[in-house]
Amino acid sequence: MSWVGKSPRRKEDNRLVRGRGLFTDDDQTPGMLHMYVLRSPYAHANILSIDVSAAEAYPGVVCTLTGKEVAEQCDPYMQLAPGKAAGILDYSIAVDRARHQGEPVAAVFAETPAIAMDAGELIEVDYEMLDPVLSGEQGLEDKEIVHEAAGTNLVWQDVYEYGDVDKAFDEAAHIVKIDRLHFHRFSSTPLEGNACVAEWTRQGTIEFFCNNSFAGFAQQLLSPALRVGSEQIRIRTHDIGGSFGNKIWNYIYMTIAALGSRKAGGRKVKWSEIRNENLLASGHGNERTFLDTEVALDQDGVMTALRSRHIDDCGAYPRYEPLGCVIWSQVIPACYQLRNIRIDFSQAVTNKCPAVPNRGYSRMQHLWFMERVIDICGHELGIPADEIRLRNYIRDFPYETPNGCVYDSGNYPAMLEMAQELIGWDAWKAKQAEARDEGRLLGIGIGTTLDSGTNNFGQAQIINPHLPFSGNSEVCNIQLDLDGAVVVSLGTGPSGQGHETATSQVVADELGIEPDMVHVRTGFDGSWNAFVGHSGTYASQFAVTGLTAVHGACQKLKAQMRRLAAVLLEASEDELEFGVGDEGPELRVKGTDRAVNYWYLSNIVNSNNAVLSDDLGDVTLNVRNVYRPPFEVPDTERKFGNLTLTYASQLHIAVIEVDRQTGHAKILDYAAVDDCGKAINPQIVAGQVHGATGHGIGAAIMETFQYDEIGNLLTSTFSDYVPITALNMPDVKYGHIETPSPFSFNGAKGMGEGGGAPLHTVSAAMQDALFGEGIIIQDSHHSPPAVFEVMREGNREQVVTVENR
Amino acid sequence: MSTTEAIEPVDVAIGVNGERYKRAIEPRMLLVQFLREELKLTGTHIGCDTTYCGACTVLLNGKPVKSCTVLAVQADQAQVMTVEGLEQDGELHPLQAAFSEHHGLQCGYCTPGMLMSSFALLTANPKPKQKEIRNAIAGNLCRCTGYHNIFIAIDAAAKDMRGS
Amino acid sequence: MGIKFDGDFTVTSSPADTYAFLADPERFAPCLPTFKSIEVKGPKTALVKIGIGVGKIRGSAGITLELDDSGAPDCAAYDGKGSIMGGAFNFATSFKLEATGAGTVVHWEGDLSMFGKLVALAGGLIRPIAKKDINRLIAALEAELSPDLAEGAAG
Ligand code: FES
Ligand code: FES
Repeated sequence: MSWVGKSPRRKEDNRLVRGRGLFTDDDQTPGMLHMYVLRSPYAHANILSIDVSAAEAYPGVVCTLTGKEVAEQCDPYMQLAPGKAAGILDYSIAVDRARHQGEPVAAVFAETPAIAMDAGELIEVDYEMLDPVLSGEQGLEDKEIVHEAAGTNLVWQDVYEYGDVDKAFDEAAHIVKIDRLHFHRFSSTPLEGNACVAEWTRQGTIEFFCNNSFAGFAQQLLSPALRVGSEQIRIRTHDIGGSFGNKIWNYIYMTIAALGSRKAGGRKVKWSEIRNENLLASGHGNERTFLDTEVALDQDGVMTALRSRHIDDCGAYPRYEPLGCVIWSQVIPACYQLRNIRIDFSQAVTNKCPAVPNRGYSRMQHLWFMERVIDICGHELGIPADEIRLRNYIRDFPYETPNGCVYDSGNYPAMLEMAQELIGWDAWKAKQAEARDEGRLLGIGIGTTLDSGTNNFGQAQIINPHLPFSGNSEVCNIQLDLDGAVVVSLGTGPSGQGHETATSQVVADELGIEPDMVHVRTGFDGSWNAFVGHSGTYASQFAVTGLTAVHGACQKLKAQMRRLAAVLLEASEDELEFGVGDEGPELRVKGTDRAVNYWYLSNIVNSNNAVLSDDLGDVTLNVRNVYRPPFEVPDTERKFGNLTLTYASQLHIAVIEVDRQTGHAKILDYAAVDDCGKAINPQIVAGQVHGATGHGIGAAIMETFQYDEIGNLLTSTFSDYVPITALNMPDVKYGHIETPSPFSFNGAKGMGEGGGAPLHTVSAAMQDALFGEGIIIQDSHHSPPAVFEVMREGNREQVVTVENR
Repeated sequence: MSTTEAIEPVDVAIGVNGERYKRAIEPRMLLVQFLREELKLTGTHIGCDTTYCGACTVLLNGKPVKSCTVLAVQADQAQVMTVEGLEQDGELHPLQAAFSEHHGLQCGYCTPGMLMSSFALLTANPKPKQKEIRNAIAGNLCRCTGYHNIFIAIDAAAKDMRGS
Repeated sequence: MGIKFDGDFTVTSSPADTYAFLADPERFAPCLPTFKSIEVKGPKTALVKIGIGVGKIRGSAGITLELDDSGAPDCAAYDGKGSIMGGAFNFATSFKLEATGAGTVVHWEGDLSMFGKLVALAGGLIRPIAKKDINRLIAALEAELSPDLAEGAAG
């Protein structure tokens, strides 16, 4: 009986469907203070003065905090960039300049949230407006400087070059040139906002109850910033209402709340973000512009070389950046055999909301670019969309990319075939021909993508050789509790991915018991001694990093249990087997009824141990296991090395009709096929695919962070940002293939980010619908007004040129 | 706008999940705040500030409302039902069971609101069509599931409740 | 959100009188629509309170008004900034004077930028309202600077 590969009901659901989850804001402890954050209305302004006296005098206010105090009490957060950008000073509250609309400029701590907010309005800030930098390209001009301390807006720049690019261009049969492509700003906007409860106790420890989704990293940032030892900080999470990477960055508010708690004499401080704050200031996905792209192809339409210049806009503070400048290179050739590549990559700060990791982080932008490239080449050369992909797909695995990444396994043609079958490709092709005869704009688009999981932090050293990060790791602690219960603690702090369930499946299989008999603790807790610096939920890695740690912990626990049981049962270890007996989980001598149950084993070790012999002194039945994937530090000079352990893949097909009158894009049919190797829990896997598809379609046709010409975010409420609803979500025909990963113990690959497949797919379908109208799809966002605008003008002549030799 | 004058509390008596609660509250208190902060019924969530997301959906005299857009004083003398009122003696309501069975939730943050909107739907319309299911939760955002499994769960619960 | 305006109008006052009026915050400010009060902070600075309303959103805003008299006596200009309901606005306005017969032609320019919540919530409404308010300001200035006409009209 194996639980892995099945879909038992999720352990998490029992509390969540009853309304008994514990999300951060659900902490309603009486006597807590509430924090309100006053934010800059300007995109870029000097802060000439701040007067908090009226707010402090307001009844019910305990104290306030300004950037000046933060700068006195804290060190700026660690910067990852080398060179000038390392000089950027990043504090939780703006000190003398606000650099994006919504940046915190002061905080109020009061007895109720309403009092805090009322008092916040009494703070007087005198601003001097400065010209804002509103795009990466503008940033690189360095006319207005966002961070004086750095003296430049450039965060990082370098050239990624592999193979012999110029030779390939000399030998090309066709060269396709694309002037400009643009990947828009959006984020996955988890339904629960950021939140934290902080208590700086009189003993000097800081207790956080929060929804940070990368606690191992937050701890490393918070402790130097707050000038305390790492051991003084305890981070705890419970249920998290979605993160998608976005909640990696709420340590900013954890800092403010902690400082407020200390100033208020150690009272607990709670902060819950409201949606407007979330959209304004809690992290956007990276916006990227792709310039001067040139693609060399042979006479069959096989891409042989590519050169391009990419500019990433990371908003006002780099924070997790410039890691995004290298993370995309995990998927440098996308799903294609392309070997000769030169990409000049730079990143700039601007006066917009800081970028944060967002589902598909940095790879999605690049994969969208590569999908636009192959799709535009196909249309320009008159090769059908499926055909050009089949001619270019990587087919032999493991496959080493030009920059040394190893794609573990995959079968892209099989996914294409399955997706074509699911959607009824031939029938749609026939309908498309009819529609075109009637003058209707119907398009069919394919998107192939990668979801690279379990990243090698050593890639950080490509950006900055001095960064103290490499490899990856995750922790599992497993123990028999005093009553013999199997208790598992993880370092991952999940946010809806069902780690409790998947973990219990793996443990149940290893111990020969049922998932119900495994108690997996909820959330993250620094005091469990079950975390490392890499601990968190990000980068599609749980199925490999997390579960391999669980698997290893089980092996270690079982070895101890066997040794102990062998003595108690007077049998040899290999005569023993694990299973469930009348008195619960047990070890027994095979083929007999001689058995010890878990209670007895635990009792002997924990409460009744005078009977234990000395040579069992190291048996604790409490095991901490750390899994470290086999990584090396990449060659930072050549930018070469394996940056990721597994490569899940997805292939989507969309059929879209564009309304000539309005530019509105309607999805008529949609299919999604995924391959994440062995699925531990197929239902959870399918759920992740559907969820990522919803995010991607929403981003492609509805959601965008749009700034006006002076840096106002025009989409700063849900009513303007318009996340996808049940009415806009098409039916998705789902398929699944399994190409097991040779690099994980169970053949699984990390998944969940989805690689932005719908963005590639919707853009491709739009392209197919509009190519005949002389239109090249240049942007990842397809709002009706924008589509209408291009339809009116046409742009193919300006955007694309083709040289045939 | 801010004001420094003390605000007179208002007395309300609100029935929630069959219990009657009397409280003196600030007139500006929202129903969702009343539930979460006064009664500690934290199953009802808050996900936005423009009445868009539906995480706060409860039933007010049997009708689904967004409790972030109702003043607690408006619910004076009314009957409110929240997600905590769905289970009976520890037994899951068929909707709750179906959401779990069909993986209609991931993080679970939208789930209470989804359940209450679906409950209202199935009470009024035991045999909803696909389109009616979509319409019923059009005001409830889910950022995790892509809705797919939620549609399936509601449909399955409807069948279960009809006993077919 | 940024809005630019310009135009000209003719008044019966002489350029010198017109300049004296425009360059005196205490006389100029009351012409602002929904003017409530003024507090003079220095020879060139004043704090002006005005009422603001966009649909159902109502409040009052404090404006710091700063006179730029570097162009005297042919040009009076003001820089203003203020905040309202979690948002802010800035404006720059200038009045260039040109003698014509007994009176003065006033060439004016204005540049208004709005930031924050109000733009997000009521962006689409602001442009027409701002336009209306500017027209009211110009009409008020015209009336003040052409007393004879105004009286004539009243009489
Ligand atoms: S909290 Fe979003 S609608 Fe009520
Ligand atoms: S399950 Fe997370 S928002 Fe719906």
